[in-house]
Amino acid sequence: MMSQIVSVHSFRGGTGKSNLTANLTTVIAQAGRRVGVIDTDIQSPGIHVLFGLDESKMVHALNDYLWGKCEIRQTAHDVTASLDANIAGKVFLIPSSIKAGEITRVMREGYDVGLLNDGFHQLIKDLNLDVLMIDTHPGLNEETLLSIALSDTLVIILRPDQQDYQGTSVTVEVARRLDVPRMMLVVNKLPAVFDAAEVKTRVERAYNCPVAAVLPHSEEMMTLASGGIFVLRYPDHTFTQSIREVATRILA
Amino acid sequence: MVAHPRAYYIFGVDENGQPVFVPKTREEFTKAQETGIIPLNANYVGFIDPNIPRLAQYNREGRSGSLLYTWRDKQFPQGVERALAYATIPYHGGVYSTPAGFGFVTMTAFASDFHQAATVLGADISREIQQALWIALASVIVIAALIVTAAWLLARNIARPIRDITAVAQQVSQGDYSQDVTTLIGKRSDEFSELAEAFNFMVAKVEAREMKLRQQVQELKIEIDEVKKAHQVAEITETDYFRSLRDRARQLREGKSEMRDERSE
Repeated sequence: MMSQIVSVHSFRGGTGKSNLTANLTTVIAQAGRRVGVIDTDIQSPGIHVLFGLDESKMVHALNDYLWGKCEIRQTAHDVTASLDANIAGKVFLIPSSIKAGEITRVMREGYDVGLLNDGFHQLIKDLNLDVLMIDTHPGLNEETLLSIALSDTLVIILRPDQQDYQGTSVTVEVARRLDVPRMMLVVNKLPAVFDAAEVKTRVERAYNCPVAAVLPHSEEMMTLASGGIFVLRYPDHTFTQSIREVATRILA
Repeated sequence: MVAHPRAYYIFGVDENGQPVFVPKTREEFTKAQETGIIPLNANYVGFIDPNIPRLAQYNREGRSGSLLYTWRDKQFPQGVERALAYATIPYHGGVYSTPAGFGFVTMTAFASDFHQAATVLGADISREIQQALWIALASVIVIAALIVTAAWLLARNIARPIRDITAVAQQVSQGDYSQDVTTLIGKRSDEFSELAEAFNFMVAKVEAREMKLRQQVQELKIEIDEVKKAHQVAEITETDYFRSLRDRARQLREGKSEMRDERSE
């Protein structure tokens, strides 16, 4: 099987992007795949929290690789065992440094975006990955554009509001110009007043792009999700089922 | 009769207030007997009557009271039960100041007559008791029947509107708002009509809210400002970085697909 790069993107922050990425990663690993998940949101990293990676155990972060301090494979943390002993595949987490100094340095100096490209491919090779999930920085900065350009699949998350509609239309257009082979939308945090099937149809029509899932806004979900990987704790929840459907589309 | 030398003026009075005839001679006695009166034979009663020897004793003790004795004469050869009421006339004076008396005031009657009042009263009482029992029994039956009827009416009166409201609630849960509970229940002026009104009000509110939500779903319009979008896209794509990125991405993809082709060959 060819390995594939999957970028998870949203135009704005707070769409539940990191959460969806972590849950998708877990479901794909449960399906027996070797998955790498890389946090390119260097300015505001967060996905390591969901995977329960302790900051003290973070030996090398993506920043170290970008400054040329280490090899990319040294930044990969195998978090499979800490997730669930019964996962058939593997989960490797490449976190971004959460140290304030590292973050401001990235914002001040920037980094060689080309290194990211090499890093992605090296990781796939070194860890023999089936899927590399990229948790991107919101908006369309250079490293995000690179992630999108390199992606085989682009998953765009949007909330049903006017700002996201406009931003998503820009992302979809840019991704098309970058010849991204496959794109899918995930509508997240849909208020209960809307009909999911109706929203799916409308969004698909507006962007001429398939909607992989419409996830309802639920306080219960929000509360539970902060405690770790939702799909592991609630395997029979409708949210988990929706995530599995998205994963099935990605792996198809 | 009165048998007393000094208190001879004491006389008996019958139920009509007339003095009782007391025979004083044998002729009078026989004559009284012929008219159906059975006078007390003072001679007999006095102190020696074999039927009532106790009376003499009672007189000596100065007692008053009543007793029964058997009277026999030509008219009643088999004897008849007579009742006798007696009251000793006490001496009270002189050397005779003892409890003992000197003769009696007595009254006699057939024992059956003597008991008549009690018998009649007894019969009356048992008839009254019987009657009271019947009335009580009838009351219990009537009250029980009333209670059962009232309970049945009440249950029907309460159960039916509850069933009606339940049916409408089920219809509402299926999204059918057409049924009006107040007309279904009919005209009443109790808590049920209040409940029906409140229920109707709630249904109307729920229906209105649902209509509003449906409208909102329809109002989910995805408006994309195409001019703004074109501008935003151009800002990104019309840079050297983007152009080179696009070219590199194309090269990479071609390389990937070449790798794919090699593998499949």
